[in-house]
Amino acid sequence: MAKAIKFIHTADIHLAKELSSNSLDNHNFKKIFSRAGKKAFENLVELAVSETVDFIIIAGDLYDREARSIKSSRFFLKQAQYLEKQGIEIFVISGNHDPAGVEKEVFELPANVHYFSSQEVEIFEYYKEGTLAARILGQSYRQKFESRTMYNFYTAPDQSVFNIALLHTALSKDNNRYVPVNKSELLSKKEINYWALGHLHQYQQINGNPAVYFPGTLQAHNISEQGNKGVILVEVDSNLNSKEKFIPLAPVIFKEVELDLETEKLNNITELQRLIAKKISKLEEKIRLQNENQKYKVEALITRLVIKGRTELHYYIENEREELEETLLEEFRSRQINESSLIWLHSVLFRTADSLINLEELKNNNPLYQNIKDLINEILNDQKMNQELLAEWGQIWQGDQNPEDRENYRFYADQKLQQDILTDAEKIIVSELIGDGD
Amino acid sequence: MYYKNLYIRDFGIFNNQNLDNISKNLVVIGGKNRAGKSTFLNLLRYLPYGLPQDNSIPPARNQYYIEAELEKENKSYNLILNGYSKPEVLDQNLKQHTAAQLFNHLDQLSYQQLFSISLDELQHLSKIAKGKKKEKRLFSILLGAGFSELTKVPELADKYYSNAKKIGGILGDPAVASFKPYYNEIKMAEEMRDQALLEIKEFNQKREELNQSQEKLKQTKAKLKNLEHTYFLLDLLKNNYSELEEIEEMEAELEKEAAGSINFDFDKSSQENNNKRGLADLLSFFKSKSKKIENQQQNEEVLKEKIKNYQLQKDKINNNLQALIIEMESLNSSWEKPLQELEKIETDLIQEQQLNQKLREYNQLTSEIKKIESDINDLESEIEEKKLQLNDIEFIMPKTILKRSYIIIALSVITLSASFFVDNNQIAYLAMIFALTAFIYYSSNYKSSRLNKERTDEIKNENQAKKKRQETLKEQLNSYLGQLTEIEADLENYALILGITGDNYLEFIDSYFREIKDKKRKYRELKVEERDNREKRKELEESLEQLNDLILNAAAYCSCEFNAAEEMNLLDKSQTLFKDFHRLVDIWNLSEEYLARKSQLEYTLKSSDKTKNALNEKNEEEDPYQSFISLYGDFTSITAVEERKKELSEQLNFFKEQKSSLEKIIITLKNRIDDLSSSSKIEKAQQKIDQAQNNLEKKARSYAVNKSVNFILKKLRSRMIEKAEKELLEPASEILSRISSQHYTDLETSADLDRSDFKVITKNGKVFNSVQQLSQGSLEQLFLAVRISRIREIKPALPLVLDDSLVNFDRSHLYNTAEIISNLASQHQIFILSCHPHLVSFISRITDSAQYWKLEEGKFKLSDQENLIDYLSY
Repeated sequence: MAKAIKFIHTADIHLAKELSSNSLDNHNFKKIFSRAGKKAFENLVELAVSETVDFIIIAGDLYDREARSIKSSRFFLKQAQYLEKQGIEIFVISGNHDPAGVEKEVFELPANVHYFSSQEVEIFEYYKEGTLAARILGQSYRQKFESRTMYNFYTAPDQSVFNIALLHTALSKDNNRYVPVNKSELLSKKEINYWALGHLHQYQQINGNPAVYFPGTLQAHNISEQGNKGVILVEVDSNLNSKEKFIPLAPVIFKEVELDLETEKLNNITELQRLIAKKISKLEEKIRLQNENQKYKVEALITRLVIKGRTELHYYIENEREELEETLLEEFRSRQINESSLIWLHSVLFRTADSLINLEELKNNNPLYQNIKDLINEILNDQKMNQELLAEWGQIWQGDQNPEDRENYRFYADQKLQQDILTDAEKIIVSELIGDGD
Repeated sequence: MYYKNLYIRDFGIFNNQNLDNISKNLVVIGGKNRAGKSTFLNLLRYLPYGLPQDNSIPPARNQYYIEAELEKENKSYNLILNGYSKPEVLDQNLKQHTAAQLFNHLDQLSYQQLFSISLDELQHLSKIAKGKKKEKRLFSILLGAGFSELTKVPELADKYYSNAKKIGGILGDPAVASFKPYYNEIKMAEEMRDQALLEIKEFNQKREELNQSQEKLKQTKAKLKNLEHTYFLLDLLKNNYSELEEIEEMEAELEKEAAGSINFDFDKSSQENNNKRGLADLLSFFKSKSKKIENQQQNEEVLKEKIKNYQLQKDKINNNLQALIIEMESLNSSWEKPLQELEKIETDLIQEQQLNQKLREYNQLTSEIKKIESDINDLESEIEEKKLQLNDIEFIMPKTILKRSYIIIALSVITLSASFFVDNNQIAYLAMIFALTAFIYYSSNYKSSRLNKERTDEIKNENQAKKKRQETLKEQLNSYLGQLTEIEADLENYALILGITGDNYLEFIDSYFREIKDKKRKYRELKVEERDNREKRKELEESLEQLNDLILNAAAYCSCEFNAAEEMNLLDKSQTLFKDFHRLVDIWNLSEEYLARKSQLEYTLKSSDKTKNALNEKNEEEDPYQSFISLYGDFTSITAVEERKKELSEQLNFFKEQKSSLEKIIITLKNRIDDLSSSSKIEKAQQKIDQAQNNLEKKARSYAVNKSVNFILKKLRSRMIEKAEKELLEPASEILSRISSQHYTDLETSADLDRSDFKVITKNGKVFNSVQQLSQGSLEQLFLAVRISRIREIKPALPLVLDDSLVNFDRSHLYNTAEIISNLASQHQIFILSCHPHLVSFISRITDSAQYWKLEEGKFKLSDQENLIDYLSY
């Protein structure tokens, strides 16, 4: 019978990385945003203490390559020191963002912080009350990219205790940059009870038993990382059965909100503003409700408002889209100054189109529409066509698929974004070609 | 799909018309002009979509109302068109459907153009190539679904392309056009971020530098402290150098004075040690005896004074004795040993008072006698003298003088009286002179003459008295002489006792007696004094003995020899002793001074912590004084000390400068480290990047949308052209070939789709690049061929209406066409509206299955081929 243990699995913390709030101004939220990453980590520490966990494992990217600062190192040092006092160990591998992390640590870390070597797989043994209670295996990134498969060498001597493997990977055989392994390869390592993965910023359960998890980032940093972010609390009983639970900890969450004007009857922009305000206050209500039921409160929600659909208002919007986006944003933000709001509007995006009276009929009657639809489907699904389209989009869209390897002035169009853009394009085409009444 | 029954209650010319059991294949409706053919065409054209409100259709009498029963895939539907509203479609179960569903969702325009084209519209075909929009659309429709819109494509595509170009240039390069400012912002922010990222490196570097500087500072401070101590000590040494020198000299002198213990080997250091030990012994001796020496010193003068006094006293006594002897000898020269004689005289036997009384009485008597004798003599001589005096006095009588004076006055009066008579002033004056002379004479002579007379009388009286007195004195003298003889006998007795020989003893017996008595007293006193003095000497000798002991003690510790004087008189002895003692005191004083100065210095060294520490640091084991001495020993002279001090001072300055520069460096480093550790540069950079990125992303999206529109449009067009070529034009060219009796063999779209044109090739290989080059007939054939091809393509099949569209065909071509239509009718319900009997006749020849309707002034009547041909022929 092994000792029961309890630990927290986290990854991709990217300490000190700023939240994308799309603003340089000082506002009510600025402090919350700039503290969010730290706050999330403090929540993590609080959770660790209140749950009296044995240790915390960090599966890479504790720091952000582009936000490495002395402040962040000091912050981690303080937290680690506090955890040391509480008798909580920390096991860290460094990821693509903080390769060979320990060598770059500014301060000497306390003894409870264990960095894994980047040279080879290391095994740390965790002793609880004098007996071996768990093994933690891991290997750090040597450089920004890591093409070694690593998993091969994750070999625990036996299965007498809970074996945890830390690996920073995109979990894709094709991705040579971030440890090219796949799920079945991981599962082939029979002695491992828990694969603590890192790199992908979205919480994911890859496998149940043995457990394979991505905890996601601790605090989302931009609108593409939507929803609650937190850690996985793992409890292992004496029979080595584990129970995993996702605990949201991030004080700030991102969410894209869509406002479809198709079914709304709006006569002017003022009505649109009212509608937006209503939508947002509903959202706010929802968060407040959610906050009542959880210990780690959401302090702010950064939202991007996407206004879409065919609407009479498009007439006003069309020619001054950007100005209007800006105006609505500013207007909303300035109203927030006086209110204790939880919502920070990141941006307003118009994706509206002209309203067509007989749209449905046109769609139904015009074979061209079907053609357009088919064509768009084909563009989305046919790789060659897709590549052709992306080539048309130009260099600015040639950003790396991985946001971490993408230049700041390039973007990457995932399936959803492509769909969004093509939907916009389709609306324009339909309006121009079919909707043209003459 | 086909119309089974049709009921037209109100539509233009039609009123309550029923067409029942309409053929699902070919339906020929013959009618003359204005019979309602075009109205029927319009009716069928709008029935699925609702009626337009633009006066393009004939008006209703009341309200448009049409009912139709349709069958599609063996299901029956009822369609009702009421007024301008959309047609309602119900199936047998009265479930609602839309007309569009029945009509394959074909758009209105395409349906109209393909399935219900009018003659008028066909007649404008030639204009297609001339680029009229409407015709272009027709062309598009003929080519297939959406081709009308497709003609707009190039223009539209261009529009969105140029939109995109404005946003992001041709290639969507992030560094151009409207991307550019945001791109630049990002680049700048990245630069800022990269700099900020270097801060960690700098931080580590600065921290390392700080450590080094601090270590160096520590060393410098230690060095500085050391130097300062040394400098301080040297300063102290310099200030005390002469003092030390003197102390050392004193020590050396004292060492010399001290008797070192006997030394057998000649080792220098042991010699030195020996000296030291000797000195230490001496000093400890002095220490133990210092009180004594001090006392001795204090008492020295007293002692000396005492000795001197003693000596003086002794001399004095001796002198007095000599003087006494001499006095005695002078008093009585017969004495050989006067002092012994003196002792023998018993002066107590003589009562001094008695002697004196006798002597007094004797002297009194003697002097009384003498006095009386002299008085007698004096009186004798006085008497003689008076007698002489009386003889000497001669004088004028006072009466005479008075008389002379009266005479003169009388003279004057006479004279005066004479003047009264003789008036002469000079006579008056003369009188006055006479008067005056009388006065002077009287006053000068009269008085003295009176006095002389009185004196002579007096002297005569005195002489008488003196002679009497002389007699009494002579009697008294005799009694005194008797008394005197008695006294002289007593006095002679006394002189005998006193050993006086000679006759005149009376003259000195009393003084002699006193002398003897006096000498005797003196002698006694001297004897007492002599005894006292001897006592004193004893005391003095004791004192000197003590001093002698001290000196003898000291001699054990001193190298010098003392003259241990034993057999000497007191004075000499004392002088020798004092001389020795002085030497001893000199040494002692030296040692005292030596010790005092040494301890003063020691005190100075010990009382200052700074000094103590500095010395202690120099040598922990030695006491501060020894350390100081050894420091002193390092230098040969004060000049050497000063030189060293100067050197040190330079070093001190150097290290001080180093220290202050290090401190400055440290402060700078610390500030920088503070700055770095609290730097929010990276956050700012990130925010800037984020902001610019968000803006850029919007632009990028916009660019992508525009480019996508362009892309889709281009794709769409080429896709559709391809499709048209393949699915439409191939069958169409076959139809055209059949219609034209294989004259035209091939039909293609124009290479330039914008021109909305076809390319036609004859069997001889002649190529018509534009329909404009074709005759109207050929053109109509071409479009019919294309239309049929299109219609065949649309499934399920829809009813087709042909309104005299074949009017320009020649007979053979019309026949060919009729054949094709008949074939088509096997799949489609085809309404042929015609006023040409030969077309009806051709159809009747080609097929038996056609249904014939006569239309006359808005009224339909089922007919047959012959009747209809006949009706139309006339």
